[in-house]
Amino acid sequence: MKKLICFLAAISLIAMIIGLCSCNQNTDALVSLDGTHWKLQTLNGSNPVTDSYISLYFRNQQISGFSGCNQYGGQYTQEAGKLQISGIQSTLIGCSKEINDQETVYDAALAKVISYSYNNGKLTCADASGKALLVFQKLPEYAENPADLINTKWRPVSVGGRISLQI
Amino acid sequence: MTFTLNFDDKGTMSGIDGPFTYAMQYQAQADNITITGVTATRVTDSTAAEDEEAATFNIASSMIADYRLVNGQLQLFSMRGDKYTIILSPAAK
Repeated sequence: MKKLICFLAAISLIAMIIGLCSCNQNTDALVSLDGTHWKLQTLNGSNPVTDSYISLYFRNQQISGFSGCNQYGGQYTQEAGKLQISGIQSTLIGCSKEINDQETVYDAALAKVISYSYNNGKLTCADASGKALLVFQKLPEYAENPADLINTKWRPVSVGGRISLQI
Repeated sequence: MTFTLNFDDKGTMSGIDGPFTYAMQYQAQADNITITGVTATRVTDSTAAEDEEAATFNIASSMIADYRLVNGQLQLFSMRGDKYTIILSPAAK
């Protein structure tokens, strides 16, 4: 009987360890936001305005990005699921009312973020009540070495999706 | 004249795009790249199409965030999304 209890306890322990490992793979694969790049997928649960593009970049305790019409920047702190964004500043270009309104909502949402979670390439940023304000899709990262750029000389193939005039 | 863009080892990028010359600073870390202080100088008369391309290049280059060297090309990705990607091929040295 004793052997059976020990066997069952060992099985339970192994199952618990396997469970913990798989959970960590889903939620904690992203240890640091530094150097990561994101594209907004939902804002307060809704898709962004059609054809608008909002991005978020984390680098050296600073954020930057494009909020649909303007470029913005600020500071961030990240620690164990906590994320705070502060000092958001933006350029002051005007766009359509729809895009301007979306930017206002986006900026306000960024300032309210206090936590984040990461799962399957998605970064969810939530407010103090736990409400998901912003969901971002991770943009690809490439293994590049800046030394490979030095003393290189290039000519354009296309700029902004258009064939260059100079080819 | 042809468009060229050169990276030196002091963090400076310079180039020529038809009637314009460019100068800017770059800072790269892994696949991240920041380009700042873009200045374009018109050195000869330009057409409306050349002006438009220069304006597009200015907007695109000021928001470059990442780069990728792939299949012999340099791809510069913008914070504004794929519509503003700059794709370059090696120029003769």
